[in-house]
Amino acid sequence: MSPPAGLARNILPLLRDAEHVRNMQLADWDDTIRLVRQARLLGTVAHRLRDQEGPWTALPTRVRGHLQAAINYSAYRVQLLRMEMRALDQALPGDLPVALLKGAAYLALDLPLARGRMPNDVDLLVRRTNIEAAEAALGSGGWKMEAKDPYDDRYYREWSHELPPMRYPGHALEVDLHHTIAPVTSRTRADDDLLFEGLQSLPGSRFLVLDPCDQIIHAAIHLFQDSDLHGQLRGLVDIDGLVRHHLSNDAQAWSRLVERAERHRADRVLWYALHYCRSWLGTPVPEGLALAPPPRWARRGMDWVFSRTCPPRIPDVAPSLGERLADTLGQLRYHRLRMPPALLARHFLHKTWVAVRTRAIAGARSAD
Amino acid sequence: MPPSRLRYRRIHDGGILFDERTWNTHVLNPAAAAIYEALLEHSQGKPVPSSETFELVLDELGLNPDTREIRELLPVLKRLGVVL
Amino acid sequence: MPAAITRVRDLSFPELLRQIAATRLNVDYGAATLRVGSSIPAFVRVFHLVYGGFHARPTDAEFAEYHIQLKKGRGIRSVLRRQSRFLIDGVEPFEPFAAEGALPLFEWGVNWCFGQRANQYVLLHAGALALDDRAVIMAAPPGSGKGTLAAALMLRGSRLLSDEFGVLRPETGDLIPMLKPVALKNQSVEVIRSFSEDAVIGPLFTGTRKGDVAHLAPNDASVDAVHRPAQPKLVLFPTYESGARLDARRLPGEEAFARLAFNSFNYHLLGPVGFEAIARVIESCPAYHIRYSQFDEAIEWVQSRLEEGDAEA
Repeated sequence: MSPPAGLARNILPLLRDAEHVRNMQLADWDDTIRLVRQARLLGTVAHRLRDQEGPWTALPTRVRGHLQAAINYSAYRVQLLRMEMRALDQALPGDLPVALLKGAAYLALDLPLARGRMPNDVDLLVRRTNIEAAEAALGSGGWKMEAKDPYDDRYYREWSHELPPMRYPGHALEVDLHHTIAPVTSRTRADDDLLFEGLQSLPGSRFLVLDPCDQIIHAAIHLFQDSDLHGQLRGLVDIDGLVRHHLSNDAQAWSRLVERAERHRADRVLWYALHYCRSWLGTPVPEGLALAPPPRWARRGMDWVFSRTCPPRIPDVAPSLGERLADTLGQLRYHRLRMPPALLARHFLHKTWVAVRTRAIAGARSAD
Repeated sequence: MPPSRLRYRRIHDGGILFDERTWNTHVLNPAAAAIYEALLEHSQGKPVPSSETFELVLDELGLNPDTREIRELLPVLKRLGVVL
Repeated sequence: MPAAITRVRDLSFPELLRQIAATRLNVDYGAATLRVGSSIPAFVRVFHLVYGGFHARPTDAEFAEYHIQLKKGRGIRSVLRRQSRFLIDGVEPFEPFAAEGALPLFEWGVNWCFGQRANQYVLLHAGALALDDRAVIMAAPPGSGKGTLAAALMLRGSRLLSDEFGVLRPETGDLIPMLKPVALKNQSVEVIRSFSEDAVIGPLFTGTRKGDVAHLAPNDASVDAVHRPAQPKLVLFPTYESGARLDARRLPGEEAFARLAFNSFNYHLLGPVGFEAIARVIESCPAYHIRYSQFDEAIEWVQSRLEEGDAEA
């Protein structure tokens, strides 16, 4: 399926090739900057353009200013992340194996795709048996949990794959403690033994990272399992970056990726991830991978929803009916995947009750 | 603990220090700036090995180590890794 | 010789209303341009006056830094008490203001956006003015009268770059304009009104967070120079004190650095970039604290320092 027209005009070409700037007029940048900012890719695009002298100097001055602002702001967020990691290193017991996930890992590995990120949180992975110890260590170190109410807290602990976020008072970044990479109640169930066996060390650090194939699989799970599919262009860009960096033309590496995906029961989400990456971003995915595509009806459904929910939108323009419908479908799918039906009903019921109660209080207060 | 990476600029008679590790900025009055520069010169950029050396430098500069300012300066220099 | 300029005040009120209602008016502050949409006639009326000198330009083939909507309030509450709301890229960062406060809300909102996003610059919390291209940076805490002094300097012939943001370019070390109507508070309004008959002042808004506020329109000379950079030559920390004789005191460099850096909008997030940029300013500009009660005295002091090119290191 070809990519959505809005993305195909400038954003995807820019992501594929910095030289595309020479095809753009100042007026094109008005929408493009707004959309790229909405997609949280402004820093990423800025770095890619700055890395190439030709395209960077070809930019209109004012556009370059915006991009430089994003580069500067990203440097600040990265600095905050580094400081948070140093603090976490001190707080967590030295003999407790802790792995970094997502942005924190990409930055620690100094991957090209890490450049321009603006981290909001630090994602850590520990074994389920160690999670209480990790939580306790952070608690004594000064981090506080941010669960809204006991129900939320219990939901997180029992059913989810992560604890409620923790934050050191006054720090800008949240810390998320995970014990696996896929939602616990979903169809996709990561093979934790395989996951932890595959952990690799980082030179000069006590932190570990996932096996490169698992990094890709985790990103695919995060996008297609652990989200409502909305505004996830950045997720695709991440997967594209990971594939380009970790996998070459080596057929063995690719079949290893497929094998691990199957063992993590993430073969379907991996198929979707590679499919959209190849189609939208030109990711070099070899032909004839031993990865079975989902049934045709599922692919068409996903296509319909994803092509509407994934691209960023100009904020002043109200979403179309199709977009709103796709958003709702994405959300329903997300909740259905995370929870068995009975639990889902109870969860939604609780959430609605809380929302109603809160609104009543807010309404009463503002009447004076 | 590894020494901080410090950027130093002399501004007229005073000095300013930027710590690249923490992104903190320190402002040095002329006395503190003189001490800092003398320490740098004395140790050729390596951390000064002890408080005694610090006091030696003060002595060379003719500064009284017992003022509040100087006493407040030493812990800062230690935190920055300039003095061990 | 450039073609004749159309300024905002050259447009008829209905034409201006039409353009703003269709979100087709761009405002060029220098360091940023804005596209604004609004259907609040009271806002447009005040805009017509305090933005009168700004160049009116069609939006078609252009790029705007910020896309702002100023909307009427919605819901039950807005029927009882008319409101105006500020939106940037669809996000509403503040509570609505009363409808009459649309212009202060707009000004405050634009300052907020700029302060948040313009991190390609070092944003000093300071006024900036220039004679030719020699600039004075006037930094002082809010409420100390720097806005009034900036207004007075402009009315006596310096071009105004900004009363709020000293926009410093790290790559070049120069300042660029972020020229907006000058917010005058409480007694300053009358002071400036009687200071010069050239002063174009908008209506008084009472009961805002900062007391009574009125806006002085930037003069045409300042507007026409929004794209002209200026070299910092003087750093000034002015304090108004009723009845005081003019008193100027040179500040130690590191103290001037601290005051500029630690009061800036974004020094904390620029790290080494901000450090180097502000160090450069202080190295090349003497810094003074002045106490004054007579504007003309203070202005003369500033202008003669700028003209003589005090190169004391």
